[in-house]
Amino acid sequence: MDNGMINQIILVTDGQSNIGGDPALAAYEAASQGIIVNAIGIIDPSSVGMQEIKDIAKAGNGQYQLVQIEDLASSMVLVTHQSVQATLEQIVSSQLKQLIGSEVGDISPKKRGKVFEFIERLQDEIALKCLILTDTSGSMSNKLQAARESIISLFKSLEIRSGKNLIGVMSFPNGSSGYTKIISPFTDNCSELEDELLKLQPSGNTPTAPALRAAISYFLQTKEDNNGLLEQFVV
Amino acid sequence: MTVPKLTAGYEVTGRWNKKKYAVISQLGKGGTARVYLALDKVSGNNVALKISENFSSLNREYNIMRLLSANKFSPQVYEIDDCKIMGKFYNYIAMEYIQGTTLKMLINQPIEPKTALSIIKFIAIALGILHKNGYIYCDLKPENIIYDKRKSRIVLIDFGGAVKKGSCVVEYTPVFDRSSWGIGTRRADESYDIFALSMLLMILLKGELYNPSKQEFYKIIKESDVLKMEPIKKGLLMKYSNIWEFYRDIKSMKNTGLNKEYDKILNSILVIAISIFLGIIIAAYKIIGF
Repeated sequence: MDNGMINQIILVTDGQSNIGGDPALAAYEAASQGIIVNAIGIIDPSSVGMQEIKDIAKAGNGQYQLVQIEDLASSMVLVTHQSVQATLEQIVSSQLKQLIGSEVGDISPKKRGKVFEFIERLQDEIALKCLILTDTSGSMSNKLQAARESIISLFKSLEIRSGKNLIGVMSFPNGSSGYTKIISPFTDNCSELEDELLKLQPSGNTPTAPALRAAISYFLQTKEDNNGLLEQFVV
Repeated sequence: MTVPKLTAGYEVTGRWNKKKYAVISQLGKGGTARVYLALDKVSGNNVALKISENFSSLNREYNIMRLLSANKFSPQVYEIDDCKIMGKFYNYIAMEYIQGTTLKMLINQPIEPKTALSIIKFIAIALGILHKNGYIYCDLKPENIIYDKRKSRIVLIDFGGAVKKGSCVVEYTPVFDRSSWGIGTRRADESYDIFALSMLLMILLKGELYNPSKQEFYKIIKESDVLKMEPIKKGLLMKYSNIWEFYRDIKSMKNTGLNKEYDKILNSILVIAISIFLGIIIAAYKIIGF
């Protein structure tokens, strides 16, 4: 259990992908690799394509939220915790099924308490590796300061857990040529992250699908020697 | 990963307790849950059904509501059970359906201090019970507080954000979150709730919402000075170690602060009235001349 780690991507975007294929398919690929994809849609008067946000989260086995930019931080905190909890519930449930042939739901509600206490403890102790994949295309340009602050706010929120946290930030697109850019490598150091976040700058198109795929391969590249619990059970 | 939307007439049957409900309409929707108004087919009563895909958090909510419902600070909870919707199991709580207005409706104009203080006192007691049992409410906001006119009481709804003391705050609304104002952490403790409650009192008195991404924290403190509301200031600056200290200070506000201003006005009206009365007597004395 101790070397188990939860891998998740938080996609932040205010628009519809317009280049590079179907992002929900890319999210599905992530989920098959044991990486949860949560999606946050920033609503503004010009925003379209919010259905895509729901499809991405659904395919990515994650949570989604549609929010105003002021609520980006609180929604990042919420989706992170909710998806960790939901994932642990799934893992524990399938482990129970392997062990005793019944899932959490097969135990009567009165007797579930012990299982939930176990999940709650895991939630606090499990290591979490979280990549924030943020859209920096034109329309996001006036929201990047809020995005920076929200990422720091998420970091400070997660620090309270007793488990290890690694947070990385990737942006898309990368200028007019590339799809993604690593803004900050995975780190558990807040001031390091704060410095790196200054590199978050606006530019170009919205290639959501290729960006998700780049995020997946970045996860695989930075994989530590953990037999991620998730990879075993969530497909 | 969301609970499917149910249409009116849809029948929900409990897996364990075998109770049956017929959906009437949707009351609300959150990230992992939906709340429906439904008819309990046996008793014929209307109930609120909260259906969630997150079993552990709904279970916690159920336990917390049981703590508070004995004192009528939360809806009565009838049962927790599972139901199958489109081939998948969900968890639900059946609870009392409360008709009333949320405090959100009240925040268009300043509320009379006396009313605001009594609302806050109710909530403080409810939070006190939660704290005593090791929970922090966290997501305190006007939308989660209902004024039940029929039974003239204040009821807290939605305990989805409540967590064990010491763990991290999962659900919050920036204006009520001390960390968004840059003056504290999101570790759930008593002063986290007291901060939110003090902010709520401030907002009720002023009749407008604040915004931490547009306003400075010290300005709110300054405004609490203008209102002569010491408990707000102490609550926002996290000077209380438990909610009962806050409660006692709020309770003693009756004879201080804003009310003092009213007393002054009342006194001056009285003085004027007496002088007019005396004037009339003197005049009458002179006219009649006895």
